[in-house]
Amino acid sequence: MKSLYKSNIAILAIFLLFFTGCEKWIDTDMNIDPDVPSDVPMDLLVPTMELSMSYQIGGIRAVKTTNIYMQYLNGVARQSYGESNYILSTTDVDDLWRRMYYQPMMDASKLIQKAAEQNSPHYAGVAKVCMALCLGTMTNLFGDIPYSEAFMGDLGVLKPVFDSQEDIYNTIEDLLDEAIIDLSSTQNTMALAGDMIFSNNRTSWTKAAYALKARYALNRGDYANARSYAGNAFSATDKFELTFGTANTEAGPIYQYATVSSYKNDIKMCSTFIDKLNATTDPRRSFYAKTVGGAYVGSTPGSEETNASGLGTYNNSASAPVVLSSYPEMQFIIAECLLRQAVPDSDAAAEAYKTAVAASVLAVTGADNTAWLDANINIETGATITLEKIIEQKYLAMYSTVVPYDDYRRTGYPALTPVAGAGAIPERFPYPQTEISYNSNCPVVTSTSQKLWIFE
Amino acid sequence: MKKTLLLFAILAFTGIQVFGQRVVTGKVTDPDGNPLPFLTVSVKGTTTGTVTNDQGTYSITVPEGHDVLSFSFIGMEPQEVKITGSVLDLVMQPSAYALGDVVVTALGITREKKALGYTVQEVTGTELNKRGNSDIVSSLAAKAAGLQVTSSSSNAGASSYMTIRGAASLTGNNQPLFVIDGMPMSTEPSYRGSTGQSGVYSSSRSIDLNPDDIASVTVLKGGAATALYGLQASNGVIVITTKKGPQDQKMKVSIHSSVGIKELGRHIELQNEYGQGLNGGWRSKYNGAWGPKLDTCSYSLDPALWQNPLLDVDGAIVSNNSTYVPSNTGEPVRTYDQFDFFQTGISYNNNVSIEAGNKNSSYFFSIGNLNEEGIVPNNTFGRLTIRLNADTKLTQKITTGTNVMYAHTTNNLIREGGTSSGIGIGLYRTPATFNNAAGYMLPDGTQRTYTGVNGTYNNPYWTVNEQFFKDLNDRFVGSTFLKAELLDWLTISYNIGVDWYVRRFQDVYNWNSVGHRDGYLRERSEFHSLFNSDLIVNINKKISSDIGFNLNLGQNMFQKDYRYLTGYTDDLSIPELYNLDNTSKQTAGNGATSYRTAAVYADLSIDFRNMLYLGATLRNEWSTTMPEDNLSALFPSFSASFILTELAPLNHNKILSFGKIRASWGKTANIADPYMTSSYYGSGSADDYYTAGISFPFLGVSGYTVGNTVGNPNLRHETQTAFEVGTELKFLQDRLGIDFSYFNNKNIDLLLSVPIAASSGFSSSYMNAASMESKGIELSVSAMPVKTKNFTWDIRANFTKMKNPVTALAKDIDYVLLNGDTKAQINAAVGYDYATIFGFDWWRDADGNILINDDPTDSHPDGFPWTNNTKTVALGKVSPDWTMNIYNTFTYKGFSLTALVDIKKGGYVNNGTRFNLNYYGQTVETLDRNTPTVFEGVYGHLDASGNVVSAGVENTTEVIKDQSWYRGENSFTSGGAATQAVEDASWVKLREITLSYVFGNDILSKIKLKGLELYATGNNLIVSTPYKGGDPEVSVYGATNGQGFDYFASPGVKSYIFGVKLSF
Repeated sequence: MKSLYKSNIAILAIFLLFFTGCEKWIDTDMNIDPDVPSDVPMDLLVPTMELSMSYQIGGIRAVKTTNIYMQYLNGVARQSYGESNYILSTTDVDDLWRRMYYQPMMDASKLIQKAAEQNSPHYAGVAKVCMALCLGTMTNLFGDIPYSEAFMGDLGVLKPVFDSQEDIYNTIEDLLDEAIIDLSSTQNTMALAGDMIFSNNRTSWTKAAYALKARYALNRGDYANARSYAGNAFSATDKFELTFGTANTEAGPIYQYATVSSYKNDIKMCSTFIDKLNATTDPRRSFYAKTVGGAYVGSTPGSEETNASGLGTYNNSASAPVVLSSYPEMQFIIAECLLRQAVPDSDAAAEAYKTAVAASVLAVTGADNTAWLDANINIETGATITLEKIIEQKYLAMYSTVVPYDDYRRTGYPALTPVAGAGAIPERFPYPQTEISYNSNCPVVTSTSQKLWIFE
Repeated sequence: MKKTLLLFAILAFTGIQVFGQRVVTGKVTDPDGNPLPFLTVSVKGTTTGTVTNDQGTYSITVPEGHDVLSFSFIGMEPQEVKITGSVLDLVMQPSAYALGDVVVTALGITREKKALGYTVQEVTGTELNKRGNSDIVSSLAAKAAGLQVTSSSSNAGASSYMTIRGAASLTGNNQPLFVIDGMPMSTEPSYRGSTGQSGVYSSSRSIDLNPDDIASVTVLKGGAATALYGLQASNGVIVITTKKGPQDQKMKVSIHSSVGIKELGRHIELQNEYGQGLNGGWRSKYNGAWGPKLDTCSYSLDPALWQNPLLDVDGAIVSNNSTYVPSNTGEPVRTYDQFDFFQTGISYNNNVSIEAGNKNSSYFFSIGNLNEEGIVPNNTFGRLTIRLNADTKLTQKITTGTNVMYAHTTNNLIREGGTSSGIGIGLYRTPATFNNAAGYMLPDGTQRTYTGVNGTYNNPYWTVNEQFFKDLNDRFVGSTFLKAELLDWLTISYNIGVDWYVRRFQDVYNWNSVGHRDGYLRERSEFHSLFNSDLIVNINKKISSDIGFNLNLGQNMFQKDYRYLTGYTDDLSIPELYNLDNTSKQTAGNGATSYRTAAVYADLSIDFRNMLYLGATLRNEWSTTMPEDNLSALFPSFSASFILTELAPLNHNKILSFGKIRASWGKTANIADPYMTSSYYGSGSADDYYTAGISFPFLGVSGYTVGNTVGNPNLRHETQTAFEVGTELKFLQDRLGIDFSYFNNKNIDLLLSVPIAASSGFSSSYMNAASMESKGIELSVSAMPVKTKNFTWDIRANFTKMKNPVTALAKDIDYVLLNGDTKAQINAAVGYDYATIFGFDWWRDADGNILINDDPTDSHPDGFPWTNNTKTVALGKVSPDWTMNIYNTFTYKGFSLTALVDIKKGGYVNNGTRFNLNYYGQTVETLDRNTPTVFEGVYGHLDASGNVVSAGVENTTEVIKDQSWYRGENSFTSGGAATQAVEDASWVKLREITLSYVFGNDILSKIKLKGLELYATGNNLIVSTPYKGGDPEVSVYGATNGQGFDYFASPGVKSYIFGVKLSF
């Protein structure tokens, strides 16, 4: 009996311990994730927006696929071989679309909102330039895309409507106009920080806004404005680009694909591009391509020829920058506008053309290469310059960007022979599978040879 | 010695004759040595009888002139034994068809089976560990109705996936809760290195349990059976009871040793008639087998043709025609069976247990050691387990005890599945003309592959030798209880325990591995912990002679914690030195997750005249993972059981020896995952499908991004209401038994992270998004068709048929992606069964005939079908129409032969392996590459606006299914419509066959052993299936919800186990 008494005491003691310890057991503060923030300052969103934007716009889907279409590259195996035969499935484009929307574009949207709340228009300006670049890149590949109802998943809008391409172009223009005003605002609370592209230099961002205005006005055929915007954009020393690191884990997207990944053998330089470079022994050739057996050899478009040059250090080295826009691009725009404006000025166009090529050669090679320029480029005059020559040289200058695909669909230059038996060069990307699946507003695209509104 | 025994026996026998009326005592146990209480012992031919006490011992006075005792116990074979002394110990053999009378139910409460208003199914430890299987989950395969087990891979230490009565949750955990000796146990596989189809399949942590330590497993199938467990119980509960020591018994040592042999089993067939190359010509390094027909070729050693001697070790392959005569060796082309890569894996499993007890205490101690080799070289799994279960009576009324388990596992996993650095792709895609075995590393350290030096995919020999994933786990599970019988009718017990494990893995790639050219190292440490406490007050009163009353009141507290620390680098400065300092850039990360629940519960049962049993439970539970104003949930359950045969007209009926009907209704719920009530920012990163990408900090700058998942402050509990009705009937003195159940579970407000359109700015939204139903029938039949003195034949069969449709999805959600790749997706969609394969189909006319293109002006060739890529459609459901397993046991004297046949009817698998290998010309299917074919279908095409135009005329155009066809170049989507990949994965398997011999007492006494058994088992010796891949029981996604997907999964395995069990 005595021991029973003792054990009753013991049990009572356990009970007491139990209920006193129990009080704070269901502590709702436990449900706050200790590892990630509920809010972050704007200067920590800017670098992510810039990196993810550059990685996508200069990366595998946007650049590799369109550069295969444009016969800079040839896909010799697997998915890339499909692309070189104009096979691009709805699931293939998921990665670009999804990452663009929920990474840089969402971050830009959040920055625009935060900048308004925190009375810091300088952040809004940077975010609007990035948003405009993302929208422009996306609409030129996909046509109608969501914007007016996009980025509101947290408010319950899970199926945003698709805005027409015309609306998107108007949005781009509005965003860039607002950005120019925001960037020069004197009523700014939080000083711009965290910018990895222009080191928080607002003047450079204003130039970038003009550069994009010029690019998209050109697509609209608004030559007069495009030319004037381009004139307000970059000078020869400005670089609208993001530079990467030397470690594999900090390397740029093309290097990660073409050197590090298991897909590295799937793409080669294309004969169309290599033949053009070989024709004049272009000084940029050794930067754009590697040699094979001591020569620059291109793989025939649409073939599985693997015995061809690989990608050169220009984009295929770890720290190679992703070029978002550039001084040479602006000079090419000026050249084209001068030639195509209501009252053409072909002499000035020829001069702008020469400036553009010289700037590209310098930017790519680091040297003037005057002899080559004199022999091949500086021979043009107002009498000899043509749209085809301008776009042809723009093509050689703007390798590893999305711009030549726009130019081709806009002007038909450079003249490319489509791969035999594969149909015409596609006019657009299909919509991504996830958007088709999860957003019933997604338009149906029956054929990727439909021309987009902007290129009609 | 023999003589002494004989003399003793004679003396003993004589003694009986001499002394007349006498007392016989003894102990009755089951074959595992567990005492059998309440067993009836009677003297044959008299009315004298008694029952055994709770230690299984008895004492009976035998009247003069009688010398036979009969022993009977429900669930055991009745025995009659001649008395040969004053002590008569007996081992009772279970009758195979009876499922046991007393079962362990929720919270370890022992109940008479007939009192239950819901189905429980018990699997005995003997049945589980007979095969020497390493994982309790895979041992349970085909052992109970309604239970489905899928192994993710045949590799040693691979994970297994189990569901009870279908899926209750869409994307969350569908695996049942494991409760071991009252402690919930985490069994989910941990983080596995990388996701999707790549990576390795880390073990489900149920593998830490030694099956030899298990006394019994009870399968509680949800609803009323599990309502007492509250949260997490909606997937059912696996209640595991480990062995306990006996009371008042001398030390007994048991040894169980076995040797297992694993061999390559069923696998996809590869062609060996065409060589590497394209367009019918040989090409070195080419990724495909569209090359020359090999019987017309031989080798050339001409350096102009033979450019890569390091790769193509045999020479260049050239046609026998005259062009190459000068350099042609004339030797026939050798082909290599790529499956020679696999080895015979040997495993050793040794277990020793010691048990003993005195009047007040008992203990069970065991050590187990398992060393397993897979059929993939260097794939190993080792496990050391130690267990101590000890109970002691402090006083007559107070008992305390403790169960402690330690497990140390080491697992070297090999990367498999659809990753270019795994074994699957590199092996299956290698053309028959390339010899992977002729060296995987070239003298300069680079990799030799069929696609070239440092090619596109790893040489499989490289994967197993130059990459590894070493997974080390140390686990400690300990619980202790104190039980006090305060009054005759009042007992209080308290059970408290922890389950801790530390996991450490190293994931390594040498330089020149595909995807990690500069090497890779990841080190990760994880700490997992569970805390559980249950306080239970039991009130047990007989209100009148007819009515009994039993009430349990309880309180539970539970906490789960997880933290990890990881570092990795993609850039090793010195090869083969796997240290995080050996790099120019290392990345580190850490994280933690914790939550708690608390509950109070009541469990009431009332019985009336052993005929009618009523039960009710109520549990209220609070959880920290729910929104503040919705922290708690209440779960009631009701059950009733009525024993027909207790009714006077049916009582002591010769035909129907036992009859029961039962019904139950119960509600359970699931809580939200931790941290889902709000949205967060995440650390920034950039990547794409093809590259590893970049994570912040980047260039010394840190960055954050808006998180991809939308949190939700308005979450509700996910609830399941389960209704079940059934009957249990036994005929002809239990020679035939039937147990039938109908169940209908409604799962409402399922919580899940739903993939949403990225244009919303997010990739997924966490919400109460879906409702689902699972309904079906389960039928268990047991019979003993033959029973003679020496020979018996037992049959036990389980049949399950169920449907698992998704009944509703949240607004704006059309379907939920469970898993998949670019070709096919496993989705949950309204009106379709849970887990249905979706993908692109061919273009078809209104009647469903495949269109065969007849428009020469479009971009598709005439005479072929082409893919309709405008919408994905349902191509087949993953879950079977029905499953059945039949367990036959034949016993002749000490011999016993058991055969387990497992049948699955229906259920589709997306055979991505075959689909993909068609692209590369590797399958036997592609041998028709030069034979004219006419596709089944009707002529048709699309008009300018995309409408189908067809007159319904049957296609008669002959075409050649050449490499362009198999590569899908004609059908827009690479490889063609996904329809081609979806295959019926029905099967009939001889899952297990075991021959064993138990030595009789006559021999045992001579060799001084208490027990000796020898056995031989074969697993998966026969697999019959229409599936055109490897083992149809496959999941490349491991233990996840996206079952039904095969993409370069490892081939099937056959195994043989030889074992011996002895005790002394």
